[in-house]
Amino acid sequence: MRRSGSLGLVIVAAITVLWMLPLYRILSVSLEDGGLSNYTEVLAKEGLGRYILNSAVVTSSTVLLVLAIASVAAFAFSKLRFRGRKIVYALILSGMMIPVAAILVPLTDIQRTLGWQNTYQGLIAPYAALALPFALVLLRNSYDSLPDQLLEAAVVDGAGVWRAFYRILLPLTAPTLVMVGIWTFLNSWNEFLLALLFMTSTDMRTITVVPASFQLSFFVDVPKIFAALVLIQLPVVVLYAALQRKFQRGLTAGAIK
Amino acid sequence: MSQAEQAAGRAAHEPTGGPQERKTSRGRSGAGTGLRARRAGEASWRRGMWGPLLVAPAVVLFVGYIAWPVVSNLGTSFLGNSEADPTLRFVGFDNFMWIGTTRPGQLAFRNVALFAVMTIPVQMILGLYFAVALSGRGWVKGLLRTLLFLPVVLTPVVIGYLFADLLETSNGPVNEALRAVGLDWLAQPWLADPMLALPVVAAVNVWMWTGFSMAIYQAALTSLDDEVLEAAALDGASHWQTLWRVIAPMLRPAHYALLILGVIATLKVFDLVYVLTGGGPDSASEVPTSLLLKSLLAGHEGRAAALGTVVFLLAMLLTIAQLRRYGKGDDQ
Repeated sequence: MRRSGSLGLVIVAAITVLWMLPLYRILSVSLEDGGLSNYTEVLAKEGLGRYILNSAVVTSSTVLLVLAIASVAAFAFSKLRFRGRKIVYALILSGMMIPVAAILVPLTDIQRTLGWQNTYQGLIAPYAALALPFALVLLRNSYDSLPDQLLEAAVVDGAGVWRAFYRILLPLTAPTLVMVGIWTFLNSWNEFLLALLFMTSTDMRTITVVPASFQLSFFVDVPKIFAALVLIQLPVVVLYAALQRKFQRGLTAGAIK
Repeated sequence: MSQAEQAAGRAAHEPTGGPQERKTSRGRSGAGTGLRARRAGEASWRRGMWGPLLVAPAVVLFVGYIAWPVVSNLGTSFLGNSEADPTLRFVGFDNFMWIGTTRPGQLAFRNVALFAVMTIPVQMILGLYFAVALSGRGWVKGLLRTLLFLPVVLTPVVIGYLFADLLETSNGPVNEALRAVGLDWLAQPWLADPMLALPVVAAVNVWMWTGFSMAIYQAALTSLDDEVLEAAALDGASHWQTLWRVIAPMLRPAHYALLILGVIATLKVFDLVYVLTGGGPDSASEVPTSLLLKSLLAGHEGRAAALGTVVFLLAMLLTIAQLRRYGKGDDQ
């Protein structure tokens, strides 16, 4: 395969160009008619900025919450000893592949009971819960790979368990934190089903729910809808361009062990 | 994770406690009895309140938003109501019977199986082809890999709207292009034809996820033994023979992982279906989640919950298969 000639590469390059045509299309249509004014118009008149802000609040809160909760739990599961440790860990692990569909009906009941429809926490809590098992597995593997002597030395030195965790072990899991962060970011930014069900008021919509409502208000003004679609993807694409290899590692982590 | 290990290794060699640290590491290399004695000494701080305290937030979140909903959903599966009487009452297995005997229920699960068959093998074969063709160094290969992986990170809803426009019947660019080159007979109502709707959604799924298969194979390829590949080349095996006879069998863990992840992702499929076809026409592209949402919005909580229960049971079977692969990975 190493010797596969340049002809093979030319063929793959040609396929890749074809593969990218839909993305070229989304850009070109978004600039039809009004050009860049399509973009300013969806931001100014249709309030897309507000929806992007909603998604940004929900996504960043979810990422921080997952990183915090999964980090302390992963540290405890890996380095501390307490009753029920193995069973509790196995239970949370079993939640790793539960599809949202399996808990959708009770989730709507919970939202109603708590009065959390059309609130940020109404999306943050289930997003964080669904991301938790996977985050926990990756972070626990990371803590398991840190030698026990690190923690022992720190504790013997008189640092409390918390300080030893926070100052010494946590920073060493940074590469895994980045992977988990990227994975959680994409899952929350792209999530559609819960956002569709829980964010019904115009003000609280997140970006994935917006195109459907835009279709109604713009009727068939496709260029403006496409401008909105491009803006929705912009944060993802910019981050991907900057952290490309970390994205690939973060999204494929845990698949092969 | 190897980076973390390296970092940990570096930090372990840093003189944090001077003589103190040296003492501990000597203890580690000592005999088994010494080790056990040290374990007992650790107990005081390892077994304090910190463990339960640090795990508590995760447990609360998990119980409140995953475990309890799963149990509650199971209970609701056995409740039903009617338009005349909207209160939920125990109806036994009626909801599961409804799934098994009505057209939408049957189609939803038949379609999910068809969807898996139409997407997973194609994504795996294309992904393997891309991974092999783009293995190695060079900025061109790197750029192509980056581009092919790009759809994986994009928002499924956005992809849905994009392809809905591309495949529009009367003046979508796909049909326009076909007519322009004289292939009018090939121009189809892609999303409105009951025979085509599901395969077309599957094709969009392939467009999105092939890059993921490529990345998995790429990671697996880098761990392959170069000598085996060179030996195959020296034996005069052609590229195709090398790929199918030598490389593909060595990637079994990657095949298996993609198969299981693919089936679970298929069980979850919703966004593309909702935006592209809404499950239609006439349930032709219905999937469990789209039917669940319809049932829920129509006030049939019990049916929706029963659909959720079936999806849950299928996902659990797959999870067990996946965890068995990991062996005792969760047991330290």
